[in-house]
Amino acid sequence: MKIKDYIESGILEEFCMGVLDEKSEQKIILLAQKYPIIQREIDSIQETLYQFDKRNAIQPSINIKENLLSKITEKKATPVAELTKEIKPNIEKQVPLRKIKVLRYIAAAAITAFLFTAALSIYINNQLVELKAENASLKADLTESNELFASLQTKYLDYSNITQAKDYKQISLEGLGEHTDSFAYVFRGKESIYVSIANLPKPAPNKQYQFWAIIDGAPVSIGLIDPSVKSNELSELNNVPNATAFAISLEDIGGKASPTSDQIHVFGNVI
Amino acid sequence: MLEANTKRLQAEMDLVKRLIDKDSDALAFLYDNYSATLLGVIIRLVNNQDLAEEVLQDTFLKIWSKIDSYNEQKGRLYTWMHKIARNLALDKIRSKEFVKMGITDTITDNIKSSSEFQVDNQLNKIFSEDLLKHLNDDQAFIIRLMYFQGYTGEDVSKKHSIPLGTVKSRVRAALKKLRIVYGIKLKSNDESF
Repeated sequence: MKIKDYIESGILEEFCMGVLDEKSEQKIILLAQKYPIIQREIDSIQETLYQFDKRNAIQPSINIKENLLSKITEKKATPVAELTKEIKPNIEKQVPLRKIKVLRYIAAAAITAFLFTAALSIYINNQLVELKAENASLKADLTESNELFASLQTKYLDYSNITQAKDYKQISLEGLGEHTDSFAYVFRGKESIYVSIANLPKPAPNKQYQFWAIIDGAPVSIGLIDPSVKSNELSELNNVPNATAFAISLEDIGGKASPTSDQIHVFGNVI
Repeated sequence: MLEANTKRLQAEMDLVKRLIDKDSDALAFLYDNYSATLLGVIIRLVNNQDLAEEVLQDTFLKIWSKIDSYNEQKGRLYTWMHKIARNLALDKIRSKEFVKMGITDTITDNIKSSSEFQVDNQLNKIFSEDLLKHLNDDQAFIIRLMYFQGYTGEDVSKKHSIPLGTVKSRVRAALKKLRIVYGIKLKSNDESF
Protein backbone atom coordinates (compact mmCIF):
# COMPACT_ATOMS: atom_id res chain seq x y z
CA MET A 1 0.00 0.00 0.00
CA LYS A 2 2.89 2.31 0.76
CA ILE A 3 4.16 1.96 -2.78
CA LYS A 4 0.74 2.75 -4.11
CA ASP A 5 0.64 5.92 -2.02
CA TYR A 6 4.09 6.81 -3.27
CA ILE A 7 2.97 6.44 -6.88
CA GLU A 8 -0.17 8.47 -6.21
CA SER A 9 1.84 11.26 -4.56
CA GLY A 10 2.78 12.83 -7.90
CA ILE A 11 6.52 12.65 -7.30
CA LEU A 12 7.05 10.33 -10.26
CA GLU A 13 5.43 12.92 -12.51
CA GLU A 14 7.87 15.51 -11.21
CA PHE A 15 10.71 13.10 -11.86
CA CYS A 16 9.60 12.52 -15.46
CA MET A 17 9.15 16.24 -16.09
CA GLY A 18 12.77 16.70 -15.05
CA VAL A 19 12.12 19.21 -12.30
CA LEU A 20 13.60 17.34 -9.33
CA ASP A 21 17.08 17.80 -7.90
CA GLU A 22 19.79 15.19 -8.25
CA LYS A 23 19.27 13.76 -4.75
CA SER A 24 15.55 13.14 -5.20
CA GLU A 25 16.20 11.66 -8.64
CA GLN A 26 18.70 9.18 -7.22
CA LYS A 27 16.21 8.10 -4.59
CA ILE A 28 13.59 7.39 -7.23
CA ILE A 29 16.06 5.50 -9.42
CA LEU A 30 16.83 3.18 -6.51
CA LEU A 31 13.14 2.63 -5.75
CA ALA A 32 12.40 1.95 -9.42
CA GLN A 33 15.11 -0.71 -9.48
CA LYS A 34 13.66 -2.32 -6.40
CA TYR A 35 9.98 -2.12 -7.40
CA PRO A 36 9.10 -2.92 -11.03
CA ILE A 37 5.67 -1.36 -10.54
CA ILE A 38 7.34 2.02 -10.00
CA GLN A 39 9.48 1.56 -13.11
CA ARG A 40 6.36 0.69 -15.13
CA GLU A 41 4.63 3.78 -13.83
CA ILE A 42 7.62 5.92 -14.82
CA ASP A 43 7.57 4.38 -18.30
CA SER A 44 3.88 5.21 -18.68
CA ILE A 45 4.31 8.80 -17.53
CA GLN A 46 7.24 9.31 -19.88
CA GLU A 47 5.24 7.88 -22.75
CA THR A 48 2.31 10.18 -21.87
CA LEU A 49 4.56 13.24 -21.86
CA TYR A 50 6.13 12.16 -25.14
CA GLN A 51 2.71 11.69 -26.73
CA PHE A 52 1.67 15.05 -25.34
CA ASP A 53 4.62 16.77 -27.05
CA LYS A 54 4.26 14.73 -30.21
CA ARG A 55 0.72 16.03 -30.63
CA ASN A 56 2.11 19.53 -30.46
CA ALA A 57 4.91 19.00 -32.98
CA ILE A 58 5.83 21.75 -35.43
CA GLN A 59 7.86 20.95 -38.54
CA PRO A 60 11.12 22.91 -38.64
CA SER A 61 12.32 24.62 -41.84
CA ILE A 62 14.00 22.20 -44.21
CA ASN A 63 17.40 23.92 -44.09
CA ILE A 64 17.88 23.35 -40.35
CA LYS A 65 18.79 19.70 -40.73
CA GLU A 66 21.30 20.48 -43.45
CA ASN A 67 22.89 23.23 -41.35
CA LEU A 68 23.08 20.94 -38.37
CA LEU A 69 24.68 18.07 -40.23
CA SER A 70 27.16 20.32 -42.01
CA LYS A 71 28.18 21.67 -38.63
CA ILE A 72 29.05 18.23 -37.32
CA THR A 73 30.51 16.66 -40.46
CA GLU A 74 32.94 17.69 -43.14
CA LYS A 75 31.47 18.40 -46.51
CA LYS A 76 31.04 15.27 -48.53
CA ALA A 77 31.87 14.95 -52.22
CA THR A 78 29.13 15.91 -54.64
CA PRO A 79 27.31 13.15 -56.46
CA VAL A 80 28.94 14.19 -59.77
CA ALA A 81 32.45 13.59 -58.45
CA GLU A 82 31.44 10.27 -56.95
CA LEU A 83 29.97 8.99 -60.18
CA THR A 84 32.99 10.04 -62.22
CA LYS A 85 35.27 8.27 -59.76
CA GLU A 86 33.35 5.03 -60.10
CA ILE A 87 33.76 4.93 -63.84
CA LYS A 88 37.42 5.93 -64.04
CA PRO A 89 39.00 2.94 -62.22
CA ASN A 90 37.42 0.51 -64.71
CA ILE A 91 39.21 2.16 -67.59
CA GLU A 92 42.52 2.24 -65.77
CA LYS A 93 42.27 -1.42 -64.79
CA GLN A 94 41.51 -2.56 -68.31
CA VAL A 95 44.47 -0.87 -70.03
CA PRO A 96 47.39 -2.83 -68.58
CA LEU A 97 45.65 -6.16 -69.25
CA ARG A 98 45.33 -5.66 -72.98
CA LYS A 99 47.93 -6.11 -75.68
CA ILE A 100 49.06 -3.38 -78.05
CA LYS A 101 46.94 -4.79 -80.89
CA VAL A 102 43.77 -4.28 -78.99
CA LEU A 103 44.80 -0.87 -77.75
CA ARG A 104 42.61 0.81 -80.32
CA TYR A 105 39.59 -0.96 -78.89
CA ILE A 106 40.61 0.17 -75.50
CA ALA A 107 41.09 3.68 -76.79
CA ALA A 108 37.64 3.47 -78.31
CA ALA A 109 36.25 2.11 -75.05
CA ALA A 110 38.03 4.83 -73.12
CA ILE A 111 36.65 7.50 -75.40
CA THR A 112 33.19 6.00 -75.14
CA ALA A 113 33.54 5.88 -71.38
CA PHE A 114 34.85 9.42 -71.37
CA LEU A 115 32.00 10.65 -73.54
CA PHE A 116 29.56 8.76 -71.39
CA THR A 117 31.04 10.27 -68.24
CA ALA A 118 31.04 13.71 -69.79
CA ALA A 119 27.44 13.29 -70.89
CA LEU A 120 26.52 12.01 -67.46
CA SER A 121 28.26 14.97 -65.83
CA ILE A 122 26.40 17.39 -68.04
CA TYR A 123 23.15 15.60 -67.30
CA ILE A 124 23.77 15.61 -63.56
CA ASN A 125 24.89 19.21 -63.70
CA ASN A 126 21.64 20.15 -65.42
CA GLN A 127 19.76 18.23 -62.79
CA LEU A 128 21.65 20.15 -60.13
CA VAL A 129 20.77 23.45 -61.73
CA GLU A 130 17.13 22.40 -61.87
CA LEU A 131 17.20 21.24 -58.27
CA LYS A 132 18.80 24.49 -57.19
CA ALA A 133 16.09 26.47 -58.97
CA GLU A 134 13.46 24.26 -57.38
CA ASN A 135 15.10 24.71 -54.02
CA ALA A 136 15.10 28.48 -54.42
CA SER A 137 11.44 28.47 -55.34
CA LEU A 138 10.65 26.20 -52.38
CA LYS A 139 12.56 28.56 -50.11
CA ALA A 140 10.51 31.45 -51.43
CA ASP A 141 7.33 29.45 -50.82
CA LEU A 142 8.50 28.72 -47.33
CA THR A 143 9.20 32.37 -46.60
CA GLU A 144 5.75 33.17 -47.90
CA SER A 145 4.21 30.49 -45.70
CA ASN A 146 6.13 31.76 -42.69
CA GLU A 147 4.87 35.26 -43.34
CA LEU A 148 1.35 33.97 -43.74
CA PHE A 149 1.72 32.05 -40.50
CA ALA A 150 2.99 35.16 -38.71
CA SER A 151 0.10 37.22 -40.04
CA LEU A 152 -2.41 34.53 -39.08
CA GLN A 153 -0.88 34.36 -35.65
CA THR A 154 -1.23 38.11 -35.23
CA LYS A 155 -4.82 37.87 -36.36
CA TYR A 156 -5.43 35.03 -33.96
CA LEU A 157 -3.98 37.07 -31.12
CA ASP A 158 -6.21 40.01 -32.00
CA TYR A 159 -9.11 37.66 -32.26
CA SER A 160 -8.55 35.92 -28.97
CA ASN A 161 -7.75 39.19 -27.25
CA ILE A 162 -11.21 40.42 -28.11
CA THR A 163 -13.17 37.20 -27.88
CA GLN A 164 -11.71 36.32 -24.49
CA ALA A 165 -11.67 39.80 -23.01
CA LYS A 166 -14.16 40.28 -20.23
CA ASP A 167 -15.31 43.75 -21.28
CA TYR A 168 -16.58 42.37 -24.57
CA LYS A 169 -19.95 40.75 -24.51
CA GLN A 170 -20.60 38.01 -27.02
CA ILE A 171 -23.92 37.98 -28.88
CA SER A 172 -24.75 35.04 -31.15
CA LEU A 173 -26.61 35.73 -34.36
CA GLU A 174 -28.57 32.70 -35.52
CA GLY A 175 -29.68 31.75 -39.03
CA LEU A 176 -33.09 32.89 -40.19
CA GLY A 177 -35.55 31.30 -42.64
CA GLU A 178 -33.79 29.16 -45.23
CA HIS A 179 -30.39 30.22 -43.88
CA THR A 180 -30.53 27.79 -40.97
CA ASP A 181 -26.82 26.88 -41.25
CA SER A 182 -25.67 30.46 -40.99
CA PHE A 183 -24.39 32.03 -37.83
CA ALA A 184 -22.24 34.95 -36.77
CA TYR A 185 -20.95 36.53 -33.61
CA VAL A 186 -20.90 40.06 -32.34
CA PHE A 187 -18.45 41.11 -29.65
CA ARG A 188 -19.73 44.26 -28.09
CA GLY A 189 -17.45 46.52 -26.11
CA LYS A 190 -17.90 49.98 -24.69
CA GLU A 191 -16.72 51.88 -27.73
CA SER A 192 -16.67 49.49 -30.57
CA ILE A 193 -18.23 46.28 -31.68
CA TYR A 194 -16.66 43.52 -33.68
CA VAL A 195 -18.49 41.17 -35.94
CA SER A 196 -17.27 37.76 -37.00
CA ILE A 197 -19.10 36.23 -39.97
CA ALA A 198 -18.33 32.82 -38.54
CA ASN A 199 -20.48 30.83 -40.95
CA LEU A 200 -22.03 32.85 -43.73
CA PRO A 201 -21.89 31.80 -47.39
CA LYS A 202 -19.34 33.59 -49.55
CA PRO A 203 -21.13 36.50 -51.22
CA ALA A 204 -21.49 36.61 -55.03
CA PRO A 205 -19.13 39.15 -56.72
CA ASN A 206 -21.80 41.86 -56.85
CA LYS A 207 -23.00 41.32 -53.28
CA GLN A 208 -21.79 42.10 -49.81
CA TYR A 209 -23.04 41.69 -46.26
CA GLN A 210 -24.63 44.62 -44.51
CA PHE A 211 -24.74 44.88 -40.76
CA TRP A 212 -27.84 46.20 -39.01
CA ALA A 213 -28.64 47.33 -35.50
CA ILE A 214 -32.26 47.21 -34.41
CA ILE A 215 -33.06 50.47 -32.62
CA ASP A 216 -36.57 51.17 -31.37
CA GLY A 217 -37.80 48.26 -33.46
CA ALA A 218 -36.37 49.55 -36.74
CA PRO A 219 -33.22 48.38 -38.57
CA VAL A 220 -30.46 50.98 -38.89
CA SER A 221 -27.48 50.23 -41.12
CA ILE A 222 -24.25 50.43 -39.18
CA GLY A 223 -21.86 49.27 -41.81
CA LEU A 224 -20.95 47.09 -44.74
CA ILE A 225 -18.67 44.12 -44.37
CA ASP A 226 -15.74 44.11 -46.75
CA PRO A 227 -16.31 41.14 -49.13
CA SER A 228 -12.65 40.09 -48.69
CA VAL A 229 -13.14 39.44 -44.98
CA LYS A 230 -12.91 35.74 -44.18
CA SER A 231 -14.96 33.87 -41.63
CA ASN A 232 -13.52 34.29 -38.14
CA GLU A 233 -11.80 37.51 -39.09
CA LEU A 234 -13.13 40.39 -37.09
CA SER A 235 -14.57 43.54 -38.62
CA GLU A 236 -14.64 46.56 -36.37
CA LEU A 237 -17.73 48.80 -36.37
CA ASN A 238 -18.91 51.69 -34.23
CA ASN A 239 -20.96 50.70 -31.24
CA VAL A 240 -24.63 51.52 -31.07
CA PRO A 241 -25.45 51.69 -27.36
CA ASN A 242 -29.22 51.56 -27.73
CA ALA A 243 -29.41 48.58 -30.09
CA THR A 244 -31.74 45.81 -28.93
CA ALA A 245 -30.71 43.33 -31.63
CA PHE A 246 -28.32 42.86 -34.54
CA ALA A 247 -28.82 41.37 -37.99
CA ILE A 248 -26.80 40.75 -41.14
CA SER A 249 -28.32 40.76 -44.60
CA LEU A 250 -26.88 40.10 -48.04
CA GLU A 251 -27.29 43.12 -50.29
CA ASP A 252 -25.97 44.56 -53.54
CA ILE A 253 -22.52 46.15 -53.25
CA GLY A 254 -22.91 49.46 -51.47
CA GLY A 255 -25.80 48.32 -49.32
CA LYS A 256 -29.40 49.49 -48.99
CA ALA A 257 -31.37 51.87 -46.79
CA SER A 258 -33.37 48.99 -45.32
CA PRO A 259 -32.65 45.25 -45.37
CA THR A 260 -34.18 42.99 -48.03
CA SER A 261 -36.40 40.83 -45.85
CA ASP A 262 -35.67 37.40 -47.35
CA GLN A 263 -31.97 38.20 -47.43
CA ILE A 264 -31.56 38.56 -43.68
CA HIS A 265 -29.21 35.69 -42.96
CA VAL A 266 -28.72 35.99 -39.23
CA PHE A 267 -30.37 37.73 -36.31
CA GLY A 268 -29.65 37.92 -32.60
CA ASN A 269 -31.15 39.77 -29.64
CA VAL A 270 -28.98 41.66 -27.20
CA ILE A 271 -29.41 39.85 -23.93
CA MET B 1 3.85 -5.46 -23.79
CA LEU B 2 7.10 -6.08 -22.01
CA GLU B 3 8.60 -7.17 -25.29
CA ALA B 4 7.74 -3.90 -27.00
CA ASN B 5 9.33 -1.95 -24.20
CA THR B 6 12.46 -4.07 -24.29
CA LYS B 7 12.62 -3.60 -28.04
CA ARG B 8 12.40 0.16 -27.68
CA LEU B 9 15.05 0.17 -24.98
CA GLN B 10 17.36 -1.94 -27.12
CA ALA B 11 16.88 0.32 -30.15
CA GLU B 12 17.49 3.34 -27.98
CA MET B 13 20.67 1.88 -26.50
CA ASP B 14 21.99 1.09 -29.98
CA LEU B 15 21.22 4.62 -31.10
CA VAL B 16 22.96 6.12 -28.07
CA LYS B 17 26.00 3.95 -28.73
CA ARG B 18 26.15 5.15 -32.35
CA LEU B 19 25.87 8.75 -31.17
CA ILE B 20 28.70 8.23 -28.70
CA ASP B 21 30.73 6.83 -31.63
CA LYS B 22 29.99 10.12 -33.44
CA ASP B 23 27.94 8.50 -36.19
CA SER B 24 26.35 11.42 -38.01
CA ASP B 25 23.68 9.17 -39.55
CA ALA B 26 22.48 8.44 -36.04
CA LEU B 27 22.06 12.15 -35.41
CA ALA B 28 20.20 12.51 -38.72
CA PHE B 29 17.90 9.68 -37.64
CA LEU B 30 17.35 11.32 -34.28
CA TYR B 31 16.61 14.62 -36.01
CA ASP B 32 14.11 13.04 -38.40
CA ASN B 33 12.28 11.42 -35.50
CA TYR B 34 12.31 14.15 -32.91
CA SER B 35 12.96 17.59 -34.44
CA ALA B 36 9.30 18.47 -34.95
CA THR B 37 8.33 17.30 -31.47
CA LEU B 38 11.16 19.26 -29.87
CA LEU B 39 10.41 22.36 -31.94
CA GLY B 40 6.88 22.20 -30.55
CA VAL B 41 8.37 22.15 -27.05
CA ILE B 42 10.64 25.12 -27.82
CA ILE B 43 7.98 27.23 -29.52
CA ARG B 44 5.81 26.97 -26.43
CA LEU B 45 8.45 29.14 -24.77
CA VAL B 46 10.08 31.05 -27.61
CA ASN B 47 7.39 32.65 -29.69
CA ASN B 48 9.41 33.18 -32.79
CA GLN B 49 10.00 30.60 -35.49
CA ASP B 50 13.53 31.75 -36.33
CA LEU B 51 14.71 31.93 -32.74
CA ALA B 52 13.02 28.65 -31.94
CA GLU B 53 14.81 27.00 -34.86
CA GLU B 54 18.11 28.38 -33.55
CA VAL B 55 17.34 26.79 -30.21
CA LEU B 56 16.40 23.56 -31.98
CA GLN B 57 19.76 23.46 -33.73
CA ASP B 58 21.57 24.19 -30.46
CA THR B 59 19.58 21.40 -28.85
CA PHE B 60 20.80 18.85 -31.37
CA LEU B 61 24.37 20.17 -31.14
CA LYS B 62 24.20 19.75 -27.38
CA ILE B 63 22.74 16.26 -27.72
CA TRP B 64 25.63 15.48 -30.07
CA SER B 65 28.31 16.82 -27.74
CA LYS B 66 26.82 15.70 -24.42
CA ILE B 67 25.49 12.28 -25.36
CA ASP B 68 28.03 10.55 -23.10
CA SER B 69 26.43 12.23 -20.10
CA TYR B 70 23.04 10.69 -20.91
CA ASN B 71 22.04 8.34 -18.09
CA GLU B 72 19.32 5.92 -19.12
CA GLN B 73 18.44 5.30 -15.46
CA LYS B 74 17.03 8.82 -15.31
CA GLY B 75 14.67 8.12 -18.14
CA ARG B 76 14.34 7.41 -21.79
CA LEU B 77 16.26 9.37 -24.38
CA TYR B 78 13.34 11.63 -25.25
CA THR B 79 12.95 12.75 -21.63
CA TRP B 80 16.61 13.80 -21.61
CA MET B 81 16.35 15.58 -24.96
CA HIS B 82 13.20 17.37 -23.85
CA LYS B 83 15.00 18.73 -20.81
CA ILE B 84 17.88 20.02 -22.95
CA ALA B 85 15.46 21.70 -25.37
CA ARG B 86 13.45 23.26 -22.55
CA ASN B 87 16.52 24.59 -20.75
CA LEU B 88 17.98 26.09 -23.93
CA ALA B 89 14.61 27.67 -24.75
CA LEU B 90 14.42 29.14 -21.24
CA ASP B 91 17.99 30.48 -21.63
CA LYS B 92 16.92 32.06 -24.91
CA ILE B 93 13.90 33.88 -23.53
CA ARG B 94 16.01 35.24 -20.71
CA SER B 95 18.73 36.36 -23.14
CA LYS B 96 19.47 39.97 -24.07
CA GLU B 97 18.80 39.17 -27.70
CA PHE B 98 15.28 38.10 -26.87
CA VAL B 99 14.60 41.13 -24.70
CA LYS B 100 16.01 43.35 -27.44
CA MET B 101 13.61 41.93 -29.96
CA GLY B 102 10.84 43.29 -27.81
CA ILE B 103 9.23 39.96 -27.18
CA THR B 104 8.55 40.89 -23.62
CA ASP B 105 5.35 38.96 -23.26
CA THR B 106 7.19 35.94 -22.03
CA ILE B 107 5.64 33.36 -19.89
CA THR B 108 8.03 33.97 -17.01
CA ASP B 109 7.11 37.66 -16.86
CA ASN B 110 3.50 36.79 -16.82
CA ILE B 111 3.77 34.32 -14.04
CA LYS B 112 5.31 36.85 -11.75
CA SER B 113 2.47 39.25 -12.28
CA SER B 114 -0.42 36.89 -12.78
CA SER B 115 -3.06 35.90 -10.34
CA GLU B 116 -3.14 32.44 -8.92
CA PHE B 117 -4.92 30.50 -11.57
CA GLN B 118 -4.40 32.55 -14.66
CA VAL B 119 -1.34 32.53 -16.78
CA ASP B 120 -2.54 34.98 -19.32
CA ASN B 121 -0.25 33.89 -22.05
CA GLN B 122 -1.60 33.92 -25.53
CA LEU B 123 1.23 31.85 -26.96
CA ASN B 124 0.69 29.14 -24.49
CA LYS B 125 -2.94 29.15 -25.42
CA ILE B 126 -2.32 28.94 -29.14
CA PHE B 127 0.28 26.26 -29.06
CA SER B 128 -1.09 24.09 -26.35
CA GLU B 129 -4.79 24.71 -26.60
CA ASP B 130 -5.40 21.47 -28.39
CA LEU B 131 -3.37 19.50 -25.88
CA LEU B 132 -4.64 21.13 -22.78
CA LYS B 133 -8.25 20.93 -23.88
CA HIS B 134 -8.52 17.63 -22.04
CA LEU B 135 -7.53 19.25 -18.77
CA ASN B 136 -9.36 21.62 -16.50
CA ASP B 137 -7.92 25.10 -15.90
CA ASP B 138 -6.18 24.18 -12.65
CA GLN B 139 -4.51 21.16 -14.21
CA ALA B 140 -3.48 23.04 -17.36
CA PHE B 141 -2.01 25.78 -15.20
CA ILE B 142 0.21 23.32 -13.33
CA ILE B 143 1.30 21.56 -16.53
CA ARG B 144 2.30 24.87 -18.09
CA LEU B 145 4.40 25.81 -15.10
CA MET B 146 6.02 22.48 -14.42
CA TYR B 147 6.31 20.73 -17.74
CA PHE B 148 6.62 23.69 -20.06
CA GLN B 149 8.75 25.84 -17.80
CA GLY B 150 10.46 23.39 -15.48
CA TYR B 151 9.24 24.71 -12.13
CA THR B 152 9.25 22.24 -9.27
CA GLY B 153 6.07 21.49 -7.34
CA GLU B 154 7.56 23.42 -4.47
CA ASP B 155 8.20 26.51 -6.65
CA VAL B 156 4.62 26.48 -7.84
CA SER B 157 3.30 26.00 -4.34
CA LYS B 158 5.30 28.93 -2.97
CA LYS B 159 4.79 31.35 -5.83
CA HIS B 160 1.10 30.80 -6.18
CA SER B 161 0.20 29.91 -2.60
CA ILE B 162 -1.25 26.54 -3.46
CA PRO B 163 -0.59 23.75 -0.94
CA LEU B 164 2.17 21.44 -2.19
CA GLY B 165 -0.10 18.41 -1.85
CA THR B 166 -2.67 20.06 -4.08
CA VAL B 167 -0.06 20.90 -6.72
CA LYS B 168 1.15 17.32 -6.78
CA SER B 169 -2.27 15.77 -6.88
CA ARG B 170 -3.23 18.09 -9.76
CA VAL B 171 -0.19 17.11 -11.75
CA ARG B 172 -0.93 13.46 -11.11
CA ALA B 173 -4.57 13.88 -12.11
CA ALA B 174 -3.61 15.83 -15.24
CA LEU B 175 -1.25 13.16 -16.49
CA LYS B 176 -3.67 10.38 -15.59
CA LYS B 177 -6.28 12.14 -17.69
CA LEU B 178 -3.92 12.47 -20.65
CA ARG B 179 -2.83 8.88 -20.27
CA ILE B 180 -6.42 7.77 -20.64
CA VAL B 181 -7.00 10.11 -23.59
CA TYR B 182 -3.93 8.75 -25.37
CA GLY B 183 -4.80 5.16 -24.53
CA ILE B 184 -1.59 4.44 -22.66
CA LYS B 185 -1.85 1.58 -20.21
CA LEU B 186 0.69 0.42 -17.69
CA LYS B 187 3.31 -0.07 -20.32
CA SER B 188 5.46 1.85 -22.74
CA ASN B 189 4.84 1.13 -26.36
CA ASP B 190 7.47 1.25 -29.05
CA GLU B 191 5.84 3.90 -31.17
CA SER B 192 8.82 6.20 -31.00
CA PHE B 193 11.05 3.66 -32.72
